[in-house]
Amino acid sequence: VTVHTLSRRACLAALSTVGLIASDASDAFAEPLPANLQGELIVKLAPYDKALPARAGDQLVVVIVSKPNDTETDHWALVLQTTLRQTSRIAGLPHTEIVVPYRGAADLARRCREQRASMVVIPSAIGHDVEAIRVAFEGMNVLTVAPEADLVRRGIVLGFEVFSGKPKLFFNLLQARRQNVSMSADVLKLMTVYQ
Amino acid sequence: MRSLLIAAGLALATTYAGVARADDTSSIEGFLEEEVVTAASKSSQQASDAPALSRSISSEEIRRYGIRSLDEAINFLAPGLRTTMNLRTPEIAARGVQFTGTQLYPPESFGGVDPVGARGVQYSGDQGNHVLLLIDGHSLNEPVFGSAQYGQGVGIPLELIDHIEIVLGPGSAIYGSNAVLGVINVVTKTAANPGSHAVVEVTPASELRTTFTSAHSFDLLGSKNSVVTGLTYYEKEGPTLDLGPQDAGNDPVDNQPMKFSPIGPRTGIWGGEAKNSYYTRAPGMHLRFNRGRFELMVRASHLHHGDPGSRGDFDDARNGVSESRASIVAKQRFPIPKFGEIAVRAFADAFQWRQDFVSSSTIACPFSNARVANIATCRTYSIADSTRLGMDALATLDWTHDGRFTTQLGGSGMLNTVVSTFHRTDADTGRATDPALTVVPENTLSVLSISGQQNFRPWKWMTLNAGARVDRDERFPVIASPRVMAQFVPWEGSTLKLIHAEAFRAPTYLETNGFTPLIIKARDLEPEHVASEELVIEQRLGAQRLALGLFYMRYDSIVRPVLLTPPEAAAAVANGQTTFSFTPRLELYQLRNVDEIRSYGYTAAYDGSVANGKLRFGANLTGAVAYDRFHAPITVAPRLFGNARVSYDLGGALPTLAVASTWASRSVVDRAYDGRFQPIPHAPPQLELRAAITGQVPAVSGLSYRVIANHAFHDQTAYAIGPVTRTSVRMTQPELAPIQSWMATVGLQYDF
Repeated sequence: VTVHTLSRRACLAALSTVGLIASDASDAFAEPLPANLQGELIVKLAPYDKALPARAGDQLVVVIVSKPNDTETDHWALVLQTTLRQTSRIAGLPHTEIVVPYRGAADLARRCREQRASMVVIPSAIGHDVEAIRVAFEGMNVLTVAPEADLVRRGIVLGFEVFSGKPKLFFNLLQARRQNVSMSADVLKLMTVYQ
Repeated sequence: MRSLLIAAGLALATTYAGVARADDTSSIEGFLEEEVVTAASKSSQQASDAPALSRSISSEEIRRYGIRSLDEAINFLAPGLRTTMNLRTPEIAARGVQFTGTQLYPPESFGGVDPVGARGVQYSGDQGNHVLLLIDGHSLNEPVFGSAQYGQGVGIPLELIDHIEIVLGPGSAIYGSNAVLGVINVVTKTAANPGSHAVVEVTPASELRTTFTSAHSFDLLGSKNSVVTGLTYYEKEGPTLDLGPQDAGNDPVDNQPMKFSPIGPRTGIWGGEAKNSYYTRAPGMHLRFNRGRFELMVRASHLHHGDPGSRGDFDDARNGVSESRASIVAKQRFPIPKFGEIAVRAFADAFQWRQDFVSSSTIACPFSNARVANIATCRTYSIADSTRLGMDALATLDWTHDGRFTTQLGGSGMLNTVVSTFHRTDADTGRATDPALTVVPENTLSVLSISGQQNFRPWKWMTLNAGARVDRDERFPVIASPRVMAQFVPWEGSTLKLIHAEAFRAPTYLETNGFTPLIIKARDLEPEHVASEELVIEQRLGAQRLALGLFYMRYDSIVRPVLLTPPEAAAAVANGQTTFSFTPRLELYQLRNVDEIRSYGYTAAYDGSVANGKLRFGANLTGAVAYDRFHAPITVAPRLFGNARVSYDLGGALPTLAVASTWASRSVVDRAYDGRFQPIPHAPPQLELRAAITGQVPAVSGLSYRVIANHAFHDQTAYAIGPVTRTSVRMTQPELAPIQSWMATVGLQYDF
């Protein structure tokens, strides 16, 4: 096997695979926590949101945001919804999950107000709009959640991601205050907190 | 030893404290301490749900405990696996089993020094071909030897590693050949944490390790892209080794004393100060480009090391091995609406290997023109090349949208091309003394496979997983590798798994197609097979995790060189399978599926932390009984081995202090049986202690340091070195490879 043959084969393989590059692209480079585990973690963390009972009233409404025409996000939303529905009560409250397609930050904020949502889960696929979401949700009583640390740093209140093979939690304290979320100090000790 | 006891005591005491303190966040703490692994089933899942005993070693642990290479990470941090240095590269064993090699090389097999050992049979080490090593899911085991590097030769910058997944037990149901003892998946970092890092680490007067890693993302053509790159260079020179003296006696060809130097008289004595031949140089690069669901990985590595224990001329720097590896892997994921995705990969791998052997003994060139031409020193070298082109696809379907009922279907195809030749030259002029000998004629052969896996969780307390892979290698009948697991969750934080798994190792192309004058070509060689039964119990309590795995494994059809009977040898001569003429004393070998191993034992692993993760600790212990078809213990692999570690983060600007240890019981020397040594030689128990301090350099933003001190309490490993690897009246015990007792390393890292 000559070097020439090796190079030719490698080039052919490379060229043949370049054609596989698709134009539709998700925005996440982080290793996400599997969606069903995201659901489990939300269930575990919800009781530590001290303002949640007051926000939710007699029923917890969770809005799961999906990106239109994005099959990957559709699947993620479906898994999250199914996982949450398997839990009879979240933070001691009956709950309902609604999947809402993303049509802009202002529209999302409006839908959440209408639905009296206490928790909104944002997919990585709309991470490019997170600053607009941060602004739209300021002053609202809602916990925003995202499966990516970078989105928390940029304005989502709570997030999780896999780092070095283990789940890690992230919390944006400033944004939490703006959205009237108060997380227990016991749990904050387990999180990376962005001031 | 006292330090070790103190560390263990400290870990135990803090454990109980942590358990007693377990408050209402313990469920979340447990969740966060639970590793997420992908290697066990090719899908992300919690380690306790994986159909095997698995553990993940984080980049934080690698840095904190002063780990400098993959083999050190395995020895100091992993459960159930252990590597051993043989003065060249580390070799790997699992659960009391280490396979001895069947390779036709080294080149002494073409006329070396020792009558049996020189023929390449039972030469130490299988080059790691019974463990599958993956980088980001792509196999590094090449087709010629099935080998993978575990030392610096792996060519991955340590700082680029995000975590290392260790999966114990057979994994062929997912990965096919080589996943016999286990699977190791090195997962590299993503661009989630952008930035660049430069690292220089120096072990005074012997080692230098330097790496540069970088991760960046950028927008292009309306999409986000990321590039993660890493460069590494490792160099080791020395230390000087004091080897021998070994009295090798007379050269069988001319009955004069053996000669181990091109100058000086013929003394038959090998040994002295090895100042030139103990060296390693290992550059490597790794690049990953991501654009949405597309990923491209390009990697290349080179390893060149000397062989101070060579049976050729003593301390000749030319004795050694060079190998180069390159891979390009392209992966595209396609979502399947509502149900999952299909991942398609295309890849190309290239591997080049060369081993040099320089000898001034007459026997080094006994059958060639060299002797006629009165050449003083012969240099022989063996070359092997391989390429691998392949594609695979894996569909993952989540039917119930919650992971309760998932199906995986996969298929792959590969074309492997191999060739290997042997050359003999005049060491002084470089002129060939003989025509090149073809050891493995150029071959291109295909390997096709299909696989399926079904996961079903009917209740929260029970999960069933069943899968199988069918491989069709042109050289063998179809091979099926099933795996079945039943998992139970008797109470919160506890899992119990029952696993049956089978795996195989397809003999390498060198084994099936190779031949030398002394080892005739194998016929009807079959894949080696292993079946295992395992019971795994895991218990989480807050940040503490305990795992216990009991196993029983049956290895069959193991490939070994077999000495031909005189009628078989006569037939081989008559059929032209060797260039030798037949004499009653002619010893010819052939590789055959003759051996079997039974092993049973346990692996226990404990990890924990208290004080909000500031104090971390852990320990792994494996006890195994393994014996071959003669009921003899397996060479090199210890019966009892493990490691323990404890670290404390002082917080703020203060450093993190860490102590780690690795130990193993005594083990049978690699050449104990074929060397016919009596009594059976053993390597002493092994114990290494390592202390590391890591922290930020005050007043210099982005600059951090790492100081490592290592002490080995043993002075030898289980590998025989030098020309005397068989008992004689002059030497009744082999000389074992020495190990460096003290090592101190200082490193700086700059993040920008």
